[in-house]
Amino acid sequence: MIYWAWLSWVIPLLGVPLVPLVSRIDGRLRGWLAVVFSGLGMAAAIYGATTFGTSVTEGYTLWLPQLNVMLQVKVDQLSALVGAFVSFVSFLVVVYSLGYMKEEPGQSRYYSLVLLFVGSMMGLVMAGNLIQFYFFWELVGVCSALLIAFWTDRPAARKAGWKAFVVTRLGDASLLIAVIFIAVTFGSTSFDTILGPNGIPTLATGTIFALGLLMFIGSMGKSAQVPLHAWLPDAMEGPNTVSALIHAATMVNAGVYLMLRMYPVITLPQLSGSLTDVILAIGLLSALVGGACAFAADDLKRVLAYSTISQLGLMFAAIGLGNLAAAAYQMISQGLFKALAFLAAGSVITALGTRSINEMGGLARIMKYTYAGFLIAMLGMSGLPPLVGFWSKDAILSSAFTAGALQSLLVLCVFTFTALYSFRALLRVFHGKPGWTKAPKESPPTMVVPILVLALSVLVAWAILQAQPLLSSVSWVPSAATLATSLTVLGLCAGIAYFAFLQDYQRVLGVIQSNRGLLGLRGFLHEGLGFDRLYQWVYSGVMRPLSRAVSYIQTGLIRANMALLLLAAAVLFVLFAMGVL
Amino acid sequence: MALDQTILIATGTALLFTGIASISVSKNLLKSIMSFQVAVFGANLALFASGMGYSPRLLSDAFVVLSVLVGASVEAVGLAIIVVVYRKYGTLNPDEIRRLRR
Repeated sequence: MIYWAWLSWVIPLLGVPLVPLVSRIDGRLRGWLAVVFSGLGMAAAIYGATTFGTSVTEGYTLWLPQLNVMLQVKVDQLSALVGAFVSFVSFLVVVYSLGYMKEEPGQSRYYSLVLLFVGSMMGLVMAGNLIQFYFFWELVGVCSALLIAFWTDRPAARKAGWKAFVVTRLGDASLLIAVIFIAVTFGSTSFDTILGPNGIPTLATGTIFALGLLMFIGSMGKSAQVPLHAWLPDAMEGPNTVSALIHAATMVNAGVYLMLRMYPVITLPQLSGSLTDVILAIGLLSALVGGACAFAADDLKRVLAYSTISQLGLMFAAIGLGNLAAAAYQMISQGLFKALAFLAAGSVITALGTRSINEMGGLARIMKYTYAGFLIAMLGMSGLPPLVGFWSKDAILSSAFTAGALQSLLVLCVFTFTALYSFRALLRVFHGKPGWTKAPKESPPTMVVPILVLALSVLVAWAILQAQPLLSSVSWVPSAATLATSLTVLGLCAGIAYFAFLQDYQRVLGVIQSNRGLLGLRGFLHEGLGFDRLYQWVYSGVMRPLSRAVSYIQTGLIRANMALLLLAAAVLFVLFAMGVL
Repeated sequence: MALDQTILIATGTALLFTGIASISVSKNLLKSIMSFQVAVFGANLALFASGMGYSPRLLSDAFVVLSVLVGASVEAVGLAIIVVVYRKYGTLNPDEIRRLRR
């Protein structure tokens, strides 16, 4: 029995009901309890990843006997690696919460939900069959929505929670259809069965394509890909720790993880690359849209949220280019540097009490440790060798070079955006003229230590990651062409950013403000390319008239409703009697 | 399907529809609750009958017991609401109680 694979997700779940219980003894125990339980989970997962031997699927208990669903764990390279990464980031974020959430009311709710999230996310990673996977997939979605709306006294937070729930639900419904179809067709949803030679590959080509597409739409909702991305920027209304843990490092990767799990299916030869082309197109589109919006946003957290959309798009692009290792590598490296960026940003936001980057600036001397963390995060994100972000970007670029000129050009565009918005955030927050009046102080050690640990991991994680057999195809020695191209892009962007956002910032601002076209473009990027307005239009133009039309049946009279019910039953009965149904 | 099972299911269905129909014509909320109970017991009877013919019949029986209990508590809550409604409106005619309607 592989104890660690079970313990890694059962332990955090066990902690969920204990959090409110220990608050009876002492309120401060809640945070430490969460630290202990997520730490134990992390110990199990990291032990598993280091001692990983062979791929196994094991299940002992019949969970839903009627549906022949076992409670299974699937241990392979992918789940061991991703599990270790998820639990590592979760542990650090929980430690950071000790400082960040210190003064907040509602800590029982916070730590319970965070532990529930950690347990569900690990359960999702370790899941051995699709139904179990879907169960945890929904649980992380619920935790995400509830934690976005954590500050229930803020209307914006409540709305953002609803939005995240509803938009991801569109994708979830699509995934559910695929899961039900698979369960009915094969009588089993175990990954080993459905991915094996007697599983999905035996279906007709069109059916496989439809199944893959349904699952990809599910991934798009969870991983915030265009056009289902609109919830992620709004999700930034939640606490910073939640943004770092759920909306940067772990849950948004669930969609990518699903695609990696289903990789043998989406790359089946009979599909002749049709599915991967769709994934590539959506991924690149999201990467470009996210990058462009990140470049214009003024809210530091929204900058990071849009950049998450962009980086997730790169992962899907890597899958679309057929480079599994690059996608998995990018998933882990993105999680590390983005979690670091969010934790550092949270430190700044707590110190200054604002999220607008116009009210920041010149913090490099005052908040040294936070600055170091943010600097490393931004350099990692823009792909400076040998930080962890470089290797995945290099692998994606070399795949794009092999695929063709258009793909290479678009990927290079994404890299340009990435470098530009990373440097913009860095320079506008930590350099230049201060926009604040009262000098802030560096955050407490519970916040600084996780930042430094994550910064260290961004610096050295490549040494560990490249030793993993799963990621070994990401080459140790980048080819001269990719290295030269990415370094040129990086250098150019650094130069442009230095002049545009530091040296001549006032002049650039003047040019933009005097030009109506540029101003309009900035406004358009500010509102996220009008996706929200589009959805609002669909709602008020289509959904609301429909619901108003239906509401005429709702008279509010019990007697009329009952008569309608009787009428419907009579119609059904007649249909039955006639043999139509 | 055995004859007694058919009879039981037919009776249950008939009771269910009788209950719904009498809710839709009754002008007194108390009578609505009574009709509701008739409908619930019709459903219970059909549920009980549908478990006949399986060798351990415990599952459907257990559900019937559960349903009876839930039905009883629903009735208690309904009666309590009716008491409040009567104090507030002075009438039990559902057509005259219009506060919750648009």
